Amino acid sequence: MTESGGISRWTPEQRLRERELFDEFACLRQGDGSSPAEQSRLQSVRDELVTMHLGLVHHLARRYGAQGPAGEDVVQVGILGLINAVDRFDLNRGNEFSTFATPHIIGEMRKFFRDDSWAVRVPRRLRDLTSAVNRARSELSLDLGRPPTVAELSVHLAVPDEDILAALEAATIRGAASIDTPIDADGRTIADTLTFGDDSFDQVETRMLADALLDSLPERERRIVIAHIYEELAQSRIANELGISQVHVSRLLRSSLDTLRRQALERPERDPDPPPSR
Amino acid sequence: MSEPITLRFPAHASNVALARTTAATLAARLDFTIDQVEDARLAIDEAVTHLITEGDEMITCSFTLSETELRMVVTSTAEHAALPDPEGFGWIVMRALVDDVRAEDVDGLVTLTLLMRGLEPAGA
Repeated sequence: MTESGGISRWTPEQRLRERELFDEFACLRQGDGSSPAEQSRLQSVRDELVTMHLGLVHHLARRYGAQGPAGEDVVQVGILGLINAVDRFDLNRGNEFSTFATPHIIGEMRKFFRDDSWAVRVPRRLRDLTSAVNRARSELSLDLGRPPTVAELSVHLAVPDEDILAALEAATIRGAASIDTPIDADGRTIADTLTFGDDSFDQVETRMLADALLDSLPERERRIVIAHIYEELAQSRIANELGISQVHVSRLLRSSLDTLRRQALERPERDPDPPPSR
Repeated sequence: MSEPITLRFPAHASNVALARTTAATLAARLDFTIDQVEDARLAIDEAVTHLITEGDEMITCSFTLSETELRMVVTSTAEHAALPDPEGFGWIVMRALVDDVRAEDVDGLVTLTLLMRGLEPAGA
């Protein structure tokens, strides 16, 4: 796709050029356009008109939070709106083209967010609600001859206003940004700002350590700890099985856990020692 | 016309969403159509973004609701901030989205006023 050169404002020369092109565009379309020369001229005038306004599409896409490669689709549908606007614009109505085109571009972007697939995981309920809101939006628009209000949607769907607003907002946050997207001038990416801690590794290590230490406990204590922590048995049940009082189980459990904790702290981190033999 | 609702926050891009969400919530309260609710969201985004500096400045958004109108006034403590460029996209977008928009320099502080009108009340 061609960029518009990144202009963010219009110079008087561009304004003038825009007028000339729209004048010519209107003339060419009024003619019978039968000659190949006329047709190719019409095409190139239309191309230039679209190209010179691409900056507006990019600007609006950014307003919708659509940036970088993930925002390409939004830009593309926006260009569709821009092309429609170029084709429908009437210079004689006295409007400026950019004012005329903006709602067309936004309209296409809205439709895109309404209809297209989701790249971001949105909670199921919100996602369903968003589809319901979008359906109701079309239905009610037909009935009313205008888009519905939030209150009308709320009554129609029997859902509170706030949920409707959340659903509408969710509809525009579906784009996913690549974690390799640069976020500052130094070229740092989103990935650079993330830590990759994985709890599972820690759990495995803790479990290995616990297993090793358990072996250092006397047989009865070891059984109590395993029964209580791993098998999640009640202290009373363990007491019954071992034929001792629950108070005794509780005391042994506490002192065993204390021992384990102390040993765990004394061990150097990630000590690959084999478990001490009993 | 009710008392204005005011939102004041540091001029950082991360705060723009506050203004956006507030504008949408209030627009919904006025029975704006959902397209207008979205327009309000985009318009305030545009206005606030114009005043984002990432510095120490504070941005104030004040929202005044009448029966059918939402008036949003955005101003910043930044001195010598530029008025929006009338040929710039930001201005074009705000003009396209709201019924009336004004940009003024009030005692050296840039003030953007956006006015949106909702549906006429039933029976009007």
